Amino acid sequence: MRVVVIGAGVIGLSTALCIHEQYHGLVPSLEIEVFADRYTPHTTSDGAAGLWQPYLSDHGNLQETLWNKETFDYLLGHLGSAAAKEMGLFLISGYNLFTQPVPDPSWKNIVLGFRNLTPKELELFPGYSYGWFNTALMLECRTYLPWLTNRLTERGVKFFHKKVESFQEVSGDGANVVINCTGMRAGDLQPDPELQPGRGQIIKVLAPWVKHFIITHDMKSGIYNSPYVIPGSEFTVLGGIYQHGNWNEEISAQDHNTIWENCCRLLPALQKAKIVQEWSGLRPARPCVRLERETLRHGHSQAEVIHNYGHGGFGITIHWGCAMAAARLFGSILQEKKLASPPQPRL
Amino acid sequence: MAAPKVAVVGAGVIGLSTALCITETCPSCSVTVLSDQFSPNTTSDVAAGMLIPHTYPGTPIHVQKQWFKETFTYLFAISNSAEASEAGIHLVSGWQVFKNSPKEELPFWSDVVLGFRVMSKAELQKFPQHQLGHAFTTLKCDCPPYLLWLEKRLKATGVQIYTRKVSDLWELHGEYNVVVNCTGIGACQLVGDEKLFPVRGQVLKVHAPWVKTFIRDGDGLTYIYPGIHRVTLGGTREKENWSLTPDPGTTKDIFDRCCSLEPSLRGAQDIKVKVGLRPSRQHVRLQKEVLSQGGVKLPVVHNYGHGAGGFSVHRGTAKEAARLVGECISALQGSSSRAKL
Repeated sequence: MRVVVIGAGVIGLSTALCIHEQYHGLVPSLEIEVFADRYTPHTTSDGAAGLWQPYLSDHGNLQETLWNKETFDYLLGHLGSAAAKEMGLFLISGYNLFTQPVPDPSWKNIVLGFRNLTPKELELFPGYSYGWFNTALMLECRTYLPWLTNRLTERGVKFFHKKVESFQEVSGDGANVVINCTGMRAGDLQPDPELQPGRGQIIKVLAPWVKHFIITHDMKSGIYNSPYVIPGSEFTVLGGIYQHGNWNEEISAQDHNTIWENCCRLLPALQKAKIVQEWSGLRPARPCVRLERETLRHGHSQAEVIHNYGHGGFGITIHWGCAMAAARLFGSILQEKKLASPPQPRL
Repeated sequence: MAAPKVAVVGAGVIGLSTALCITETCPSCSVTVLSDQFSPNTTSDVAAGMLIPHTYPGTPIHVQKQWFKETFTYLFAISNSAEASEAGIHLVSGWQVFKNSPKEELPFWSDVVLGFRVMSKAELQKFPQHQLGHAFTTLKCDCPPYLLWLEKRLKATGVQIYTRKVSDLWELHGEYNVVVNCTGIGACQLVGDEKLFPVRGQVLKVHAPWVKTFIRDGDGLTYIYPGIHRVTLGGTREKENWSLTPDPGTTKDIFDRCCSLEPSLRGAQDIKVKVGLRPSRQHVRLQKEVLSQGGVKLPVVHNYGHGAGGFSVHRGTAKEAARLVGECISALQGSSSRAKL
């Protein structure tokens, strides 16, 4: 049983690991291969600050809220382990700021200690009159992706540095199942007009005195188009750009100025921070995550494809819940092929 | 009287902040700081600098609260300004957890810190051995940056700072009109205060930059305080122990206790061990005294004995000390004008 995972961002690697963990015992012939043209530190995931936080509203997409919760609980369970530091996982608290009262988010009971901000706390943020405080998690991909890669390598998963041009290319080559974790470039394999870039740009600085995340929101300009400051284990990420439909991965000087001025206004001490890197990337935005099976027929052969892409600006936040869901779809494929039966109830 | 000359003895957080307050309340004074030790070799440099008050048994609670509030407000404004990183002042959130419920439901300072509340069950799951906890956001003064920033502010207002060991306050009577005694544990020898005693604290300062949240056991013995570059792990409270030498057994014990609260600390790097002697007393000695010898008088303002709570109340006690200095100067000016008659 040969499985090809296309894509080596947080979605591809975690899906590969989840499937191997669950099925290698049941399917001794299971071989997983990862194909990608970009590996860490050059994936979209690597540009993300790594904060676990969904969007403000799930737009009734309860499934995604459940996947977010599954991811949070999974990561929280790993916090106390020796692996946490090697995964790039740690607790972090911080602020979400608004210029007007807003409804509580779908994730208020998932994070720890969610509460409204007190008037004294709001004094820290002139111009903002309402906000939340909570404790969440950071998962830094520049550490997490290498950790996933090590876990996969230990399990005998093979990696190939190659841009896959079509599903047929890998399925025709004998792959029984293809897992499509191609993020922004899923459209290259199969047109998907619902998948659009949500261009982001960030500035990485040295500001080790910042211990909280601060995410501001402008309900008119939309998610991530308002300044945010997210401290990592080494660098602090300044951002606040979300340009829907913009495919340009080049650094924009205008966006740099917007980020810098807005973040320094939010946290005056940042004026003294040293800039170490700039990055721009494309969030693979979609009205909802595409996580489903598809049977592709090509001539006399057919291949099972599991799509797992379109996680926008919340890929890290939702990744494990999606990996588990993809693994369940994989299990149903195995059942159909009679390669594995579900555990029989003991009578 | 020409510009009154004030000597502040001691250059820890108390000495430097007191000198600064004196320049603010008495702009015509000429202020000089004298100390045999400066940052990074003061007791203040060993401390984490967390704004979590220590309760002094001998001081009314409303006074302690006032000192804390003044200090918190002062530092809050700095943390919110462009100078925050240079001054080493930053906000930090975290938890104080208790194995046994504390005597008081709420500490006296719960409405001074930010966002104080009882921890939820979900948060307490991280601490299986603890029954109850408080979550809040407070400030931290990192040293050396804070002391160096105070020195810089002092020099900018024309304060002179000299390395000098003062063995007897009286030796200053010819050069200075008022002496301010901020010598911390040094006051034991300098003024023979038998009510002052050391409480030895050993700490580890480690590289663990993923630790963003403080954790403190309510018993005060185990704590994890993330600073700008290092995390302070503590600690010990050994009464009447004068040893400044790090103890390796204690180092291992502190590390193990902290790792049981925060397992990821096992991955901490570059462990540095430091020891400080908290200058402890039933209450802070914050009072005037007039020394006299052979008809010559020397007014002294004492501001020492802050024990485990120096950072938490430093600005409040510095302001009170500056006020007392003002009283001394008025008294001197009053008597000198009487002498002219």
